[in-house]
Amino acid sequence: MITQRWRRPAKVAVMRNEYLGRDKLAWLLGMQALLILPLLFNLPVWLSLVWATAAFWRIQMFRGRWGAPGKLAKTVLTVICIAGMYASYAGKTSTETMVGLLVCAFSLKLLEVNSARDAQLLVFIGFIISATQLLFSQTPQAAVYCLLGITLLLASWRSLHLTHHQSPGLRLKRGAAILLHALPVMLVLFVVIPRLGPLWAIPNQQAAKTGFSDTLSPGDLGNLALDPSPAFRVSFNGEAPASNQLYWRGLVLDTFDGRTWKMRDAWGVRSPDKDNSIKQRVIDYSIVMEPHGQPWLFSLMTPLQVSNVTNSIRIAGDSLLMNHIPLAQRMRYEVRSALQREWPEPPQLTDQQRDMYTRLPNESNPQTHALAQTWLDQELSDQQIIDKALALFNREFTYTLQPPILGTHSVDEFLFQSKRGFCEHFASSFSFLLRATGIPARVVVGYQGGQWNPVENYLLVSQSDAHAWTEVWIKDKGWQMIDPTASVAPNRIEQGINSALSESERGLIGEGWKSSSLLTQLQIRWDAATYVWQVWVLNYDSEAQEGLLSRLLGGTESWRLTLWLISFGLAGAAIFAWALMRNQQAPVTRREMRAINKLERKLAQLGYTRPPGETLGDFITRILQQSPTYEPALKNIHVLFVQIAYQNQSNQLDQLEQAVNQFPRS
Amino acid sequence: MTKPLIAWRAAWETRFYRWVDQRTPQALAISLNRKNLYTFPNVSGALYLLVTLVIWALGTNYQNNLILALAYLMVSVFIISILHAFANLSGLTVKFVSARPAFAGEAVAFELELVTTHKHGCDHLELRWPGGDTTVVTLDSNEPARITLYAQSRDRGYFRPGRLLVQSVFPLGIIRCWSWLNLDALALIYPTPVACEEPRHQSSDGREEGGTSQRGGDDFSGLRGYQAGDSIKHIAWKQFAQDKGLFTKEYEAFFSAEKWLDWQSLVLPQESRLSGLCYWALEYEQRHIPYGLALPGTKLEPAFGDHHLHNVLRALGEFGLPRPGGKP
Repeated sequence: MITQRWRRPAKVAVMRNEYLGRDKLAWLLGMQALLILPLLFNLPVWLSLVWATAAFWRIQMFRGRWGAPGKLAKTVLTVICIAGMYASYAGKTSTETMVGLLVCAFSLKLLEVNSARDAQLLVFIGFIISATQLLFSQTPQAAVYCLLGITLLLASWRSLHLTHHQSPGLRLKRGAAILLHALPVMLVLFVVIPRLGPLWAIPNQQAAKTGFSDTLSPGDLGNLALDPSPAFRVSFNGEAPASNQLYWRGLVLDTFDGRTWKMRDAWGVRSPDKDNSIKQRVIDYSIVMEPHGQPWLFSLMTPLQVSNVTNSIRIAGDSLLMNHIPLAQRMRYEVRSALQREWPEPPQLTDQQRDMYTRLPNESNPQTHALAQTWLDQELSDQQIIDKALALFNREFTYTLQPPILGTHSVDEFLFQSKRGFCEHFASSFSFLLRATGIPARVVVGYQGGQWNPVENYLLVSQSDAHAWTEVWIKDKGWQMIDPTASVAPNRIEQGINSALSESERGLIGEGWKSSSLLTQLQIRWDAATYVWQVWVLNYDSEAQEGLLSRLLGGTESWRLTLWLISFGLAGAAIFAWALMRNQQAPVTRREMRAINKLERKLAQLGYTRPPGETLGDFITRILQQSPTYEPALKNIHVLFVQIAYQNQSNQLDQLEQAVNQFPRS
Repeated sequence: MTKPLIAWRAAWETRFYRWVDQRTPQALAISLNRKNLYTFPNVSGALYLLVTLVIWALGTNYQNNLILALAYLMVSVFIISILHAFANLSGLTVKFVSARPAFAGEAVAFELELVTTHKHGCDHLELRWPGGDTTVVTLDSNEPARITLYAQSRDRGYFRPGRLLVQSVFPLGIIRCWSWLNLDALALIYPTPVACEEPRHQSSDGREEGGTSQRGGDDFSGLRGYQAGDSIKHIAWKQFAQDKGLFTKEYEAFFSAEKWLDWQSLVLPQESRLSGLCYWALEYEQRHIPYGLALPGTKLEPAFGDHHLHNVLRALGEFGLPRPGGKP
């Protein structure tokens, strides 16, 4: 064919790679903006100004208005950034300051980027920037945003190496294609690659302290009741205990100063109690704890065994759980607890302990002391005193979120004047009353109950479930839990805080709008999704990994993993080979020839066939002799074809195809 | 480098290229496929993996699964970009079309035709002869394109530019995918023109060339009728003797006498002699003086014009060399 003789010259793009064109720069700027934006939630907002300055300067450089910054300008900019970080964080080094400096470097590097090779470095820093974004937030939304950022990053990275024009949409599509192809591989790696513990000590992350503190004053938990944020989520192996059994013990407060309950001594000093009891009603459960910035963790009744990935939790004295550092990240741990204990030999308190658990400050709350004295004078037994106290609460007291403010003799004021209080008032005054009669008692703070999520079968315990109750030493039985709140507002224990409050107070904890069942449903589903995300993504640790791999592959032996990895690799290679074959197109037919072939098919339908050897010109002349009506259309097509095929005017291709498509109209 | 190392390296390279040649036999057109395409990460790729390692360490230290996932995603992107880089080049066919003859020491222009059958075409394709400059091209799917690629020649004769390096780092610049194509490309190299004394040659009619030729500035343009005052030296005596009338020769340059480029007339080493003859062939061609070539075993009758010049230069280039098989 004659057309083979003429060839369009190739699009030669020498040096195109060397300088950073307008499109490449625009993509880089967009990518940077998208990556820096989420960091501004956690970092000083002036960092956006640093980026804007660098971006503006770089654009001016591109337009030839401004020169590249000299050594002095660069030094000044760097010093400003470092001074700014120093000022914003008062000279403390933390993760935030490091990330802030990285953002500065990411922005200022823009001024030094002149070629695609330099720009590649910017892309690499971009990956680190999007990783730091995940340090601050690990919600599903953050992950989705990060993926969007990576898509843009890949698109602009690929753009750096493009040597011809492509529309932004196509660039984004091709960038997304790389990501899409990579995701399955990533998934396999994520599931299979073993997790390691921290490689070296990192500066302690400071998490904001949430929940209650290690002291309890009247009004502390009442404020928490307004906070609907989750404290932890629990899933039980087997059936969940009844809700009146769900007392999540956190802290034992055993020292009272007349107003505030405190811990006797510092955390972690006490060793576990010696214990020869027989454990009954043993249950296993795992807890995903939100970071609360405190070292204590929660468990039901008597924890027997506790484990997490880093083995950082131990069972301390008073059957409490303690992590070796304050919790700065969400953590999952598994606990085995006994809900009940039987004592073969009666447990004993030493005199020292008895003295400590009955100690009260002198001259505080005299009225309560007097009441206790009247009970002692009646020579009541311990159990009778407890019953009498609970009966007192049941008779005369009201459960409310808005108790009156109490003064110095808080117990006196509460018991004899206001008689309205929240759980800490009841626990505190009950313990005081018992101690005043000589019965060892202590206050326990933690959470009570929780909201069952039927979608994923777990219990959501929120800050609003914070609770305080009392443990009393009962002869021959040891420490027994008694919740005075239960005698005032049994609903609080059975059905949660909402049902225990009056209509008017429910509005306070945001229950009003929640009553819509659709919204509740949505909320439950969203929380279930969050839980799944936490368990399967955020807390997918070596233990979960082993469980999943055994389930999926039937074991975690190394030969089995290797075999599976090889088959995954082979499957991947097969898919790639198939995709490659699919992307190979039929042998070369040039566009103008395809158009002419189409024209010939149309003409064949009209009864004209072109024998081999007849030129297009002769063919058309022959047709026009028989039916001159086609003259304008065919002449036009012929002229276009000649121009394209023999005169290299490939810009006419569209016109030719259009003319052929419209034939026989002209 | 020490000598044994150089020797070892040379031996290794020889063996390596023999292996490469086995995989891609010499041909006029070579298609790229898994047999002749090689991929390996470049320096940027190593840097990328380093960044991945940093992010992995960050994720491991903070026990942050999402950051770990990002590190794994980066590893996956690395693996995928190997496939993408491979796909970018696979399906490409490089065909040798022609080579323009050149003088020894010049860059030789080889014309190549490139076509790819891959649906997305072929982007950021770099081509280079050994020691030559790199040309970057972009190909659309199924749109054959021609490029001219220069290779540096050294000696006269038949020149094979060596293995054509075809490479690309597209799409991400961290994986280099390349091939050495043993194209059956051949170019004729003329000797380098080197000025020397004009070859003296006794022409067949025994007439020495005119002294006037040394003085003119431009080419001879023709004859015109004699006008009073014309120099007697410029009178066309030959025409006058034939009774055609009195004419004045218009000089623009040399007197148009036949010249012979005679091997025997220069006393120089062989290559210098060929270079000298080449110089004068070009000189005569420029002045439109018919010239002939007399080499041992070859004789070309005087003439001028592109075709003749090419024949003369070819004879000079080929002189004393066996003509290799294949297309010149």
